[in-house]
Amino acid sequence: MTATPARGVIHDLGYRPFTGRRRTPAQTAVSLYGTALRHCFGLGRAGKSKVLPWLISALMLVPALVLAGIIIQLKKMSLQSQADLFGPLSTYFGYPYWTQLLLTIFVAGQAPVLFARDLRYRTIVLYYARPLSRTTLVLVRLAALTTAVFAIIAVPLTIWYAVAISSDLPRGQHTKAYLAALVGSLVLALTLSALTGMVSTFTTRTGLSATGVIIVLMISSGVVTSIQGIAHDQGRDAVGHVAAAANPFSAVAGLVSGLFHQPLPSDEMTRPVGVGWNLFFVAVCLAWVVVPTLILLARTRKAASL
Amino acid sequence: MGVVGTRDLTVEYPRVRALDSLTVDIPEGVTGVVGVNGAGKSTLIKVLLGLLRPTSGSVEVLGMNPATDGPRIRELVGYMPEHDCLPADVNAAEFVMHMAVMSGLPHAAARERTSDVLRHVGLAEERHRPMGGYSTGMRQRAKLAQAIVHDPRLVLLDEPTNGLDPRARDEMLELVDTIGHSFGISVAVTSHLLGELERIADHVVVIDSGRLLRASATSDLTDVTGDVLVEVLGPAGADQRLGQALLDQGMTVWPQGDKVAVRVTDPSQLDAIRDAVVDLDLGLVRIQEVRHTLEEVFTQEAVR
Repeated sequence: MTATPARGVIHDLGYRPFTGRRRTPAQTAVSLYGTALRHCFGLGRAGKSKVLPWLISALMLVPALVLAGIIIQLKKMSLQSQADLFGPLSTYFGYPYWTQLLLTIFVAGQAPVLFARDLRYRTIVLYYARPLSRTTLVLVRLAALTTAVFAIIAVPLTIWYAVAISSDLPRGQHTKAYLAALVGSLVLALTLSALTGMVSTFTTRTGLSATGVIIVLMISSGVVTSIQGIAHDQGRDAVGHVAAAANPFSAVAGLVSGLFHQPLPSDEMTRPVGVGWNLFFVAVCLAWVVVPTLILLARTRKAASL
Repeated sequence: MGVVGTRDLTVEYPRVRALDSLTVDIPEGVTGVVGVNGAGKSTLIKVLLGLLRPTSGSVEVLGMNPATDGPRIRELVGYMPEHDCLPADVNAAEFVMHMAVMSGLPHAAARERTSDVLRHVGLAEERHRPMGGYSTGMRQRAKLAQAIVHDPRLVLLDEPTNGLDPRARDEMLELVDTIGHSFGISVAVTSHLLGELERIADHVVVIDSGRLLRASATSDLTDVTGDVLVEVLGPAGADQRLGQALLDQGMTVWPQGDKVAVRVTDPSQLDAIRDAVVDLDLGLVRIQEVRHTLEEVFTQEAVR
C-alpha cells in the first residue's frame, strides 16, 4: 500500500512499457480490414473453415476457364455467338446472375464470421473499449466482406475479358460489357454483404443464419423469376420490373441493363427503358444496401451493452 | 492529479437515473470501486470510455474529456469486462495480439508485448490452445492480458475474481496488485468482496444508486478502533479471571473467543491491563490493536 512508483523503475521487474508511436485509428482500421478480408477466405482461422470459401472461389472460375478455352480454340467468337452457344452468358453480368447460388452460399457462410461471432462471444465489448468507433468497426467489416464477394466475381470475369480481348473479338463491345458488369458486381457485392450481415446479427448461431440467408435469397429469386415469366408472356414489362426489385440479383441486373444498355441475363427479363425506370432501379439498389446496413449498425450497437 | 475525476456527473436513461450528480476522484494506484449490482458501475465505465454521453456534469479521464477525446482515451485505457468475452475457437496468443493491434500497436510491438503480457499473467504454456478449453482461472487471465497488452495508463477491471476458487483468487489479486504497484498502471477494480479490496486497494470508492457514498484511503477506513485484544497464558479460565479483574476496575470488557477484548480510552489503561495480568500471575502473550475491516465500515454506513 505504498505510493505508486514512477513508471521508470519497472524494468527491474520485467515489465516493459510501450514507448513507440501508437498508430492512428485510420491505420488500425486498415489492419482490421486486412484481418476481416483474410477471415472471409478462412485465412487465420481453423483449417476446415478454409474449405468452403476456396471451393466456391474455384467453382466460380470454372465457367470462365471453359469459356476462355473455347474462345482460344475458336479464336473468334462474338458476344452474340457466345450467347447462342451458352444462352445465359449473353452478357458479362450474366456471370454473377447465373452463379447466384454459389455467391449466396459464400456470403451466407462468411457474414456470420464477421458480424455474429463477436456478438455470440460478446467479444464486441472489447472492440468497443478500443479506439475505433462502433460505426467504423461495422463499416470496415462490411467493406471487407464486399471486397471478398467482389473478388470472387471479378477474378473470373477478368480472365474471361482478358482472353476475349486478346483474341480477335470486338474490343469496344467487350470492354463496355465488362466494365458494366464490374459496376454491377460491386453493387451486388454491397447488397449481399449488407443483407447477410444484417441477418447474421439476428441469430448468432452461424448455421441458422446461413440457412436463413440461402432460403430467403433462393425463394425470392424463384418467386421473382416466375412473376417475370408471367409478366413477359403477357407483355406487361412494368410488372416484371417491379418484381425484380424483390431480389438483389434481379434488381442489380435491372440496374446494369438499364443504365449501361446491356442485354439481360435471362430471356424472361425485359430491359427497363427510360429515365424513370433507371431511377427506380437506382433507388431499389440503394435501398438494398442502405436499409440492411442501418439495421446492422443498430443491431451491433444494441447487442453490445457493456 | 488523479486519473479519473467526475463533477456532478448525471446520466439519465429514459426511465432511470443511473448516475446522480456523482463527484468522485480516482487517484493513481489501485482503487477499489464498491457498489451493489445496479449501483451505476457499468454506466460509469461506459462514460469513462466515451461510449455514453452524460446528461450533465463533467468527466475527465487521464486529463482528457471522453466526449471529445474518446478514441485517444480508449487507446490509453484497458478494460476487462465482468462477463465472458473470449471467442472459443481462437488461442490466447492470436487473440491478445489481435486486440493489441486493435488498440493501435504496430504489429511487431504487438507480438512482443503479447508474449510478455501472457507471461506476466501466467498463461505461457497454454497460449497456443483454443480458449474454449480454458478453465475459469485461465479465462480470467486471458481477459486481463488483453486489458493490459497495449500498455494502458489506466485499467478498469470489473469483478476480476468472479467465479475463481480461493487459490486462483489469491493469484488474481496478486496480479492486480503487481499491475497497480509494480507496472505503474493505475487500476480501478470493482468487487463485491470487500475483504479482497482491503488487501490490494490503496483507495476505496463506494457508489450507491449512482451517488458517491464514501471515498477515502483504505488505511483510513481500516483505522484502529481503539479496542485491544489481550491474550494470556495460564490455567483454564485464565481469560475469564482477567476479564473479571478488568471489569472490577471499571473498564469495558467483553470476551472474544479465548481472548479478552478491552475498550481503551486512555493509554494508561494499557498499563492497568499489564498490571492486572501480572497480579493474576498469568503469562501475557500479546496486546493487539483491533482494526476495522471494510466490511464493518460498510455495515455501519448502511445503518446510518
